[in-house]
Amino acid sequence: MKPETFDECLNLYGADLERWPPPLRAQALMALQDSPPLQQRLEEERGFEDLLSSAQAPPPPGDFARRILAAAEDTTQKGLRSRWAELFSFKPAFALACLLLLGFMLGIWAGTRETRNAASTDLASLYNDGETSWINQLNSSY
Amino acid sequence: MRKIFISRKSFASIGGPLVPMEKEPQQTSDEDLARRVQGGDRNAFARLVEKNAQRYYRVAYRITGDAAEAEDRVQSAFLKFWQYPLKWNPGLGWKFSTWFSRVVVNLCLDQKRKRNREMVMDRIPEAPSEVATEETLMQAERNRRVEAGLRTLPDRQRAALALCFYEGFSNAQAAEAMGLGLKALQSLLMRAKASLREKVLQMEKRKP
Repeated sequence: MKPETFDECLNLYGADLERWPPPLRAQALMALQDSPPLQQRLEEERGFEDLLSSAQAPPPPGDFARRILAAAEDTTQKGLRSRWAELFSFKPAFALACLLLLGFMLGIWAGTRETRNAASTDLASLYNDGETSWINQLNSSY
Repeated sequence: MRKIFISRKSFASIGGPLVPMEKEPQQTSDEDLARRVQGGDRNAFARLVEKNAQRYYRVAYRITGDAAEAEDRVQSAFLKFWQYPLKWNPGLGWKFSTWFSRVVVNLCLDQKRKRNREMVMDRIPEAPSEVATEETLMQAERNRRVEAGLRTLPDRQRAALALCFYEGFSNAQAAEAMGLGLKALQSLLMRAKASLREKVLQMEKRKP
């Protein structure tokens, strides 16, 4: 393996040779056996990576996961509320259909009621007529 | 705009708080958990968050350079998956971790693009002021230089480094996570390391 190729692989795959693709790793290991400059380059890269590793990201707050779960719970509730709100408030077609249906139902209900009232009135008048005649008969007997 | 929960009939039934079950096996893979979330399993989602929140926080922190922003981006990513779990399609051959990293990386990069601001040097953490050993101080100073060097890198180079170096993604996985071809990722990575090496060395030379 040429030094330039070795250098390129170091940049691409890092100083841990286990992470190199197997064919390149085999070539690198062979080249390293006889080449102090390549060994030195590998050591330099390891030192650089150690330096990078020392700068770890700070940990998140201890309750980070819990906060995400609480936010998800909140989203669920809001989602359900907005779904209902969407159905009843923000869909003009749905609202119009509801109004039409309501009007239709009211119409049927009012029509039925009127018919029933008319029938009741007829019955009452018959009854009243009968009652009147009965009272008249009673009065005339005295 | 469409509201959420149009594709999740299972979430319409609220079934207690989102808490991971204690007896959930620790070794359950992310893919298994994510599939269960797609089936409406709330505990699986809680387990997924508990298991991965820190890891993706580190990625987000490396890209944004800001703890609060990193928290926001990771939270947004998890909420997106909670609301639209079917966006992860295992049939396409994506590992969940790769797909989710992509969501996190994109959220971080998009936000940075929107804000269109550069990280400023004065936000780099200062060396500890309390009494410390010489070794601790030297370590803190080295960290500070690396942090400073990282913050001068372009966002995408920083993202490539965060995934490949700090989180141990293979180059191919990192390329998928960033939506790049392998060659493009490798080029980013090489430039990032070369640039960082140069900057850290410069700071070493300038140190008092």
